[in-house]
Amino acid sequence: METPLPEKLSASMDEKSLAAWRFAEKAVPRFWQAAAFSGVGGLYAAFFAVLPDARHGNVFRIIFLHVPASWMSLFIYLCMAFWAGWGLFSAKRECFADSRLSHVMSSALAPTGALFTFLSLWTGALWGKPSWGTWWVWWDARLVSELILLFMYAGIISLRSAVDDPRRADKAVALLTLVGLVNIPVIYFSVRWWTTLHQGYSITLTRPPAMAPAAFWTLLLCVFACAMYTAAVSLTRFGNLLLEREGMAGWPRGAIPAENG
Amino acid sequence: MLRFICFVVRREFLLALRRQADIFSLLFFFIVVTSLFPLGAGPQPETLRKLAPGALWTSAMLAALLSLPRLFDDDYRDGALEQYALGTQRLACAVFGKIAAHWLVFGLPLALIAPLAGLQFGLPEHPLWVLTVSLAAGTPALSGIGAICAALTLGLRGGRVLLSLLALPLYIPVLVFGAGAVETALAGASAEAGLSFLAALSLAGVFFAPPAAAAALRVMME
Amino acid sequence: MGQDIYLLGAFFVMAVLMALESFLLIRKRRSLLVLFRKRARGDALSSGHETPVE
Repeated sequence: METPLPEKLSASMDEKSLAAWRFAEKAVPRFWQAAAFSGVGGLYAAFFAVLPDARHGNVFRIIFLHVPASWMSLFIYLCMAFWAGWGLFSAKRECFADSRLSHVMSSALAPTGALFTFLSLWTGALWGKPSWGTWWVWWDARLVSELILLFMYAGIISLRSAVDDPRRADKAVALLTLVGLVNIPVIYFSVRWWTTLHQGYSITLTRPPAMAPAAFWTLLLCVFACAMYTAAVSLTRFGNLLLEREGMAGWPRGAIPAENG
Repeated sequence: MLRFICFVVRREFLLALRRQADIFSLLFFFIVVTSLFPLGAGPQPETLRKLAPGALWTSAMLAALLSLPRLFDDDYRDGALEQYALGTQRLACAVFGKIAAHWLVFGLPLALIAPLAGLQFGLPEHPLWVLTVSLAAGTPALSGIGAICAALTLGLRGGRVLLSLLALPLYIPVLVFGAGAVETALAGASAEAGLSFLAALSLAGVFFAPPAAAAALRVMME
Repeated sequence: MGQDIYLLGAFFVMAVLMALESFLLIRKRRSLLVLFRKRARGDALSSGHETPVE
């Protein structure tokens, strides 16, 4: 399908890339600041302000690391799927968020999502060992679902690196991301059914019975800190990817001034 | 549209009949892999009985993975896939026909010979029957999901391994329900729950996979 | 201290990996910016053969 006026289209694509780059440049330091403040506050509260449980000592504090990691791993996947879907939807339409840029944002999110998924498993294992005696338990449906989510992130990252042409890679990975999105509830449901099948009931290692208000707000603060970190890191990666992909275009000359030395 | 689908199914069928060795070697692969589990775990009947549902279903999934490349590879190489894409009928219909034919040629025979594999584990009659039904009900989902992954890895270097990496996490629900159904049958209870979930997965897979795989094919054939 | 080691292990790996991710990204960004500044200067050396630090 031919697009009309290729010259004009590429000029507006340049503008959009430039605008996106400028947005990222301005936003990233803010996100780092927010991440630093909320991170320091959250860690202080998690490690010192919340009182320890008489029985379990300090180990329960892992919850302030594990839950943010799990929530981020899922939230990042949702964002990735949103940008992938928007990239596919807006491909032939004039929308404010360009199709290419949406795909680049989606691929900028993937490694961070995989990292948080791994951290969720890691902190879960380190919570499980003192609490339940083994590094890995199969009867926690959420933990098993996180493992499968890690496999899905691995598939997305592998497919992107396997397809040479960036545009084709974008679209293929976008399709895969959306298929994976549909499967996440299916996988979670099937794993939960599987745990009830094998022991008659389903319990979760990772959900504490009740949370005192102080603990709850500390948890939210830690989640917020991770979200700010994610935004800072993903937007930095977004900027890097933009430069790598469109290095030969015109807009970087306006964005990055020449300097001496 | 229906005639076109029948045409595709018949064509796939005829092509598969000309290459009967392919299907037989896949079925033999299934039997061989199932025999690896007892060889690896020891001959005690109790152990085998516990292993059986998971081992049988995992072997079926691995055999399915091996059967997937033939869905699109040959047609892609000789240009028939492009003909489908450029034709007047929708590509999704062709994909649906291919998935249906794939199930008839691979999934159904696998389900029918599964009792032979199950006997290696000393399964009694009722679980063997549930095994066959679960495989028959679950392999359409495997074909559907596999078609999407095969479409996404069309023509890639190292595509086979990547295909497995993409497909296996998506296969896990089918494995869980299929093996779970056989397990409940072994425990003496009714396997209805697992089987109905399997059927639901297969219906959803067969209904939604063709458009998704067709979209993926168009992307990869550009 | 016995059981606290798990908490510390969880925290340290998380901190280290997140710091590593940020460090690698910022390093990549710096090298890309250097490359583009050279291009903007029209430097004869930057004929596009240089690749940013991986």
